[in-house]
Amino acid sequence: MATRTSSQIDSTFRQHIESKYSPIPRDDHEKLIDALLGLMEYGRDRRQSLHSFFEQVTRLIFRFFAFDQVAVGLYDRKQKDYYVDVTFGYRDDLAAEYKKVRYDYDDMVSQDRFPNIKIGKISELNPIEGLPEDERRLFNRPYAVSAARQALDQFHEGDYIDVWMMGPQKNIIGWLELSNPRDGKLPSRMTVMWAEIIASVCAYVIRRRWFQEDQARS
Amino acid sequence: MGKEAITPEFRRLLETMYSPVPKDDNERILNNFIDLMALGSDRRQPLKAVFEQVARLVFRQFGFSEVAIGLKVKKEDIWKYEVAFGYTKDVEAKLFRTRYDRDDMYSQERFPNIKTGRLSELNVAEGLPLIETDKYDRPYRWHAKRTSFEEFLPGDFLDVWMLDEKKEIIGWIEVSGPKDKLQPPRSTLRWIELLASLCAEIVMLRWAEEEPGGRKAGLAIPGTAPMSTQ
Repeated sequence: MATRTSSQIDSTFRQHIESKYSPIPRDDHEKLIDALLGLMEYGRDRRQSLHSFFEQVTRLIFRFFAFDQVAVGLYDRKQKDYYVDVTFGYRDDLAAEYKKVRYDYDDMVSQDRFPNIKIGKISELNPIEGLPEDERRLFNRPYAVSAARQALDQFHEGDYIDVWMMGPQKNIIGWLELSNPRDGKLPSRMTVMWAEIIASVCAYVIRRRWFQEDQARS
Repeated sequence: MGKEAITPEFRRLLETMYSPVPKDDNERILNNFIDLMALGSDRRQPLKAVFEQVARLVFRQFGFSEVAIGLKVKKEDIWKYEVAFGYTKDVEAKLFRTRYDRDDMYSQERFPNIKTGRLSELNVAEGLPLIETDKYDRPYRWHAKRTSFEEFLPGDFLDVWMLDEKKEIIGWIEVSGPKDKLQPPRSTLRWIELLASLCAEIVMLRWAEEEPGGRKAGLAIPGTAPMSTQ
């Protein structure tokens, strides 16, 4: 078979293509995709714990989507309930308090316990108006949480968005919780969609890690 | 407190603002990616069906008339096409018969290429091994001379890699025949790189689940989610 070699590629053409497609991100959109590719690479690295992967996730959301508070929750396979594994942007005492809370499945899905409005395929906004009293202590500024909503497009200090991480049977295995956007407004549609992509990636990473844990045990 | 405390005006605003109908191309792409991740997560869907969805998405959204998706044979050094979209039956049959080895996948000499991103490279007609030239719908044209650097010749193709934990190639998306016959914009390549990386997540999870005990992981969780992802 006659083989051709890389030397047959015209060097000026090569330079043109390399320059046109240089991997250095040129705008915010490219920076975000680049960061997501990096995040997925991080999630594949078995030396990194799931906890540290989630820390990367919260940092990425903080950086690109301007939410000042981000939390990641996870299903606990031993205790068979849900807990907050990572928080970002919370006061230290609140973060510690928040991490002590355990949720059961009803808490996760009950419209009565945490009333919400669907804002995406796997995300919902939990407005302050429906928040149970016992959850109000988990906010940086409880007095601000009690204030009335000033405008419909305001993201109230007590509002938060949950984005679900889905398991093999569409069961919840974790979630992203986003609150306190820097501009104080409801997030854009694109922001919600990107958060759903990130939550979906997290779900895959969790499931793979669980499998690896099970395999290491057996 | 309670759901009745949410005013109907606020609920209506949110439902309108976040209506599920995509409003532009970027939303449509992200929407498709979210659906794809849900499809890939559904164990009842074979990987081939997931890849067919990917090929259709690339064809429809990014303006390539030929899309092929290849996969590594698990635990073997063989790579082969799983899905081909937009090729003639004859070419498609040739693609499905083709097997690549490690040298084919990694050697610059075998398939000379130019890196176009973190996960992608342009394989140019000028460097294509002669044995590969029959894998084109119009092979008589593949000798065409490049008259402009922006021209995407018959014989040019872009490979976008799916990499695993060890950065080994576990699959790839191959695109050619852009409808405008031009090198695609940067944004198209970046989107397809993200898509390939999402596909890598799907493949890795599927492979993990094929291992003994793999299907049990994550099953012992109560209930189902409150909302459909489809």
